[in-house]
Amino acid sequence: MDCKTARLLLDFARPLARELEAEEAADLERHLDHCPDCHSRASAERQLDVCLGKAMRQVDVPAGLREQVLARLETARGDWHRQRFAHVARLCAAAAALLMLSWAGWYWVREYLVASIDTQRVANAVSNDATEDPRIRTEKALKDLGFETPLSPYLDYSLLAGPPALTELPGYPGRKVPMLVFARNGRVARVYLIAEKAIPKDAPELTQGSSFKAELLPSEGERYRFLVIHDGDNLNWLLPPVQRAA
Amino acid sequence: MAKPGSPQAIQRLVEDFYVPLYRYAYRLSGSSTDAEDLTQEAFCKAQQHFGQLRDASRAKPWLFSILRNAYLHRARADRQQPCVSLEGIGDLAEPLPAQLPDLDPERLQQALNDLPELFRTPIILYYFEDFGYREIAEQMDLPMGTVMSRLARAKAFLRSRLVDAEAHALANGRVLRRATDGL
Repeated sequence: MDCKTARLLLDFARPLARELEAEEAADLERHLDHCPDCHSRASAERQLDVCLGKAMRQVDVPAGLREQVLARLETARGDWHRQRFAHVARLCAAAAALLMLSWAGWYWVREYLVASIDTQRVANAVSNDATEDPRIRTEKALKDLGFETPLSPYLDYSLLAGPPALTELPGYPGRKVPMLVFARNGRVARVYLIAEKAIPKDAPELTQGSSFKAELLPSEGERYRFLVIHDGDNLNWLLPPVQRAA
Repeated sequence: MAKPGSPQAIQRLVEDFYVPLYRYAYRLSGSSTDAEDLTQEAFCKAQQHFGQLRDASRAKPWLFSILRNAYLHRARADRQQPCVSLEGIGDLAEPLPAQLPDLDPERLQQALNDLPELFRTPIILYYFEDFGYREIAEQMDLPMGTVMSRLARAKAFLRSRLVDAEAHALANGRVLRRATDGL
């Protein structure tokens, strides 16, 4: 190694800098051992480093600094939690305001922007319905209610007073079943559709109450039994015209 | 709003680094009051952004970097930066005296205060907290060659302000003592 290279490498050869490879450092040391000029320069540099380093590190640390730092950190943490709480509170308030606005908007839309009804359209729809076979129409309406079943052949569905509805079975609070209402010449009969499994095998066909009768129509293998509540002598008026004539 | 680091982790950082961090702050700012403030501010920022410290072994350079940024932020606000010129300062070609005197830390601080920050930071890190050239370059976001050049000039400046003057005074004292010995 020549003097020029050695002087260049001296900058990288600080004890703590660790910038030289081991081999380079060994080469440099060998050169310094044999070159008095470079050796004296390196010694002076190292001495200067020691002097400046020693003076640089002579800084008295104030007593209580550690405690001051920890106290300030604690305060900052408290501030963070307070800010966080305020932030969350603001978010909640904004969410609540948004919710209220949405509700108010929905309410307003529901109240004031309801689509208008055209009575002619209603009349046309009802007229169209009237052309359909009432039995088929009733089966569809029952299917819409979630009860898919063929209807009993012992009823005249043109006598229906309205579409089927889910209603509570008398005597069984909370138990809802489909009901059909038939009416003719001032006579009214309610027909409840009861699941086949819910009717005991030995249940009587006719049961007499104080003023109403409960009469089970004969089963034709449907999933439901038709329980007719009426106050007449018989159910002949409910039969379809062909069976009535027979 | 980033979640602050756990109190235990931050306390460990304080225990390990408050002394070197204060000393670095003092040498950077030249004032014990500013150094205390900077140290506290650096730890507060570290607590606030603790999640950014991915590798615990890098805690020291990370903290030093936070402190330097805090210092630069204040210095920019103060707009009272030293403007001493290093144009006339060469490298260390002149031979040093055989025996160097102990340097006065206060005079060292005055000399550091006169150095622009771009030269002051590398020289402090170089002598003070065993940072290698590479780490200083990373801290200051500079190429290593620039760091070495600034270090050489800052070192020459300190030598001219401190060592040569001290040696000169010492030599004068010896001459004076020798001259008065005969009286």
